[in-house]
Amino acid sequence: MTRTYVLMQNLNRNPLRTMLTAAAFALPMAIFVAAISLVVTFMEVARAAERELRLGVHHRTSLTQLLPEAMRRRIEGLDPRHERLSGVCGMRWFGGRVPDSQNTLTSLAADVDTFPLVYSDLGLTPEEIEEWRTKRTAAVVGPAPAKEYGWTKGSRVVLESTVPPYLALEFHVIKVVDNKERGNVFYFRRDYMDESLEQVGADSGRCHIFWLKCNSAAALRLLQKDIDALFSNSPEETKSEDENAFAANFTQAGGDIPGLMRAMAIVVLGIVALVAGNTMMMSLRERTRELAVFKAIGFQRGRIFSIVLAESVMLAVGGALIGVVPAALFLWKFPIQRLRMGPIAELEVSGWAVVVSLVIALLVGVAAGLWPAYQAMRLNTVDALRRIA
Amino acid sequence: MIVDVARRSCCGCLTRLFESRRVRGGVPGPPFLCPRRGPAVTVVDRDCLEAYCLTDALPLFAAMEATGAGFSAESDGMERSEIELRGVRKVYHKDRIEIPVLEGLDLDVPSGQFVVLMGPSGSGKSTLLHLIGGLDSATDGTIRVGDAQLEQMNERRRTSWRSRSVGFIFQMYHLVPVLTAAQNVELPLLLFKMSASERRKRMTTALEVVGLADRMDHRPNQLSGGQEQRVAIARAIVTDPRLILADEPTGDLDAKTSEEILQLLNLLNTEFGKTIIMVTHDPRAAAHGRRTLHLDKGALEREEFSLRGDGRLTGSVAGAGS
Repeated sequence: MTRTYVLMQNLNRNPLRTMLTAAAFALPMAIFVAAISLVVTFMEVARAAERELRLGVHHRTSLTQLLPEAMRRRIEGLDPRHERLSGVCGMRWFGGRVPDSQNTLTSLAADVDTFPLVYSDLGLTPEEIEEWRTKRTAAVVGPAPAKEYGWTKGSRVVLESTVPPYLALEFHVIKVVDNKERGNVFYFRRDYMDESLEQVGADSGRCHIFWLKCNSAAALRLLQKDIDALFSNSPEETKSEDENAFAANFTQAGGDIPGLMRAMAIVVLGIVALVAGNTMMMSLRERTRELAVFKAIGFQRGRIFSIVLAESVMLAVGGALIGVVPAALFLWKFPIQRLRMGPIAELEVSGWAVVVSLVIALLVGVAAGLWPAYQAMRLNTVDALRRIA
Repeated sequence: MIVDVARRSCCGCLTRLFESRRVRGGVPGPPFLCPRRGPAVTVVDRDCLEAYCLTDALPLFAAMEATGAGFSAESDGMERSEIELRGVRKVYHKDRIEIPVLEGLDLDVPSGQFVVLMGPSGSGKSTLLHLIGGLDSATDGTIRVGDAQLEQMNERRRTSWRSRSVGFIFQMYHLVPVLTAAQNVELPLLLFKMSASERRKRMTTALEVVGLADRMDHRPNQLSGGQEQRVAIARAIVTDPRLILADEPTGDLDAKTSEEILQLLNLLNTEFGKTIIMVTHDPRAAAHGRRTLHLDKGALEREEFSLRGDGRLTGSVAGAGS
């Protein structure tokens, strides 16, 4: 018999109560691991975005407003010597989906000449860049749709647009990118889209956003200011923002989901801590006589404190494991990328999220057990023995 | 009166008494424990030291009582008591009101004595037990148990001393319900650096002493009240303490089971030389002790020496036990 065994047996004293308390930890911790995974993913995306020094220029009013092609030349005219600006790539939203599928891909038509430069982080090889320039139907796809639909290099793909005029275009995959931050993307040539739009008499030669590749963070800030000043008081007033801010705004178009999740998680964990604390206090009341006897036979105050605290921590971490492990396995087996939920599509279960969740459970266990442990430590042995005699 | 008796000793243990105690006036000193035969007293004349086992001396004492002979004794200090209390006061505070529980108590308990504490509720029996066991500290006075001067020890040291030196037995047994009998007995040994095999060996021995070696794997709810108390006794002796403190150990048991438990305590006293202090309200239980201290209102009212429950020497001692 060891002290750990005694602890485990104490938890086994009232199995139903232990199970219910553990479940009270398990459920929120399962949600928590997903929430933290999302936050970790956003942090990774943000870090990647910062690295790439891209500046997005879109209509001040809304992302859905189209901007004229001529704006690209005016932007390039701000830095003809390419001291601050490497390239400008216009993009237009296609909103394509595989026929008979409900999942809309992040599908964008990009300028043929500057796309490989502005999106150099996609890792296109010289051969692939050459293929991009020569093949009108070329498409660069992210790992998630490639995996889901079994696309590989050379695959023939048809996408139907979910926005007017609801084009259906055929593409040939020239590259499947291996880039986690671009998990759900589908890039193709804008000239191909414009030709198709012209054929149906729709508005062509315009785009929703210009992405600029900047040479430095300082250059990015200066360009941001200059561009917005350039188009101020014009019909196409712009709002320029770096990729990080753009992603954040895009995500928060439907509300501050990560913030909301964080707030909910904190509230739920607070409630769980109170529930666990109450459980420990009840357990303590039931075991007053035992703890008094423990002290009588020679267990030191510190040891009594650690016994009660360890019980609380074991309960919390055990409960968290029950919640976190299945949640992590579920997210690993069924990634949210399949749901195509915009930036959330990038969500993958993170090892950090699992570790952070367990650490938080441990801290909640400590918080819940501190007061009962303190009370147990201060228990007056004589009074406790008298109370029960 | 001179008591002239032949020098006798049941097992040689009295030799130690001769060396350590001088008794004057044909007087029995406080009973001493013979580890093999039970209590013994010295009975001497003025000029020579003679000793008897109490069993043999009893008729003599009866005769002395009948003739009105006085008794007095003094120690030369060479033989230290196992437990020594001097001027012990204990005052509780409730709502700023002082409640005195013990009032300047003096007490000596020799090693190996079976002492019974009796008295009405609130007389200070349990408080005295708790003070001797180091569970509580005295307001005034000194308490020495063995070599430990309890009033000089902080709680941490007292707790550590308790784990080594005192075994507690409670009225309601207080076993841990989720542990087996064996694990309950082993529990105090977790405080010592000891191998698992050594712990198991000690636990097995303790359970064998109380006659429950065949119930090792039973949980408390699978044992009778008497068996639970036996397990509690095994837990009290597993660390081999010199002192066992029992707070109404038979208070929750029927007469037959009580008798068994008391026989077991007697065994620990006589065969293993444990000093036992037992609180009880039951005169039948008290008869198993060798010395009964009657407390009232925090003071020692009187004390009695008894002989295996079937004979009793009574002498009044006011305010102190010696």
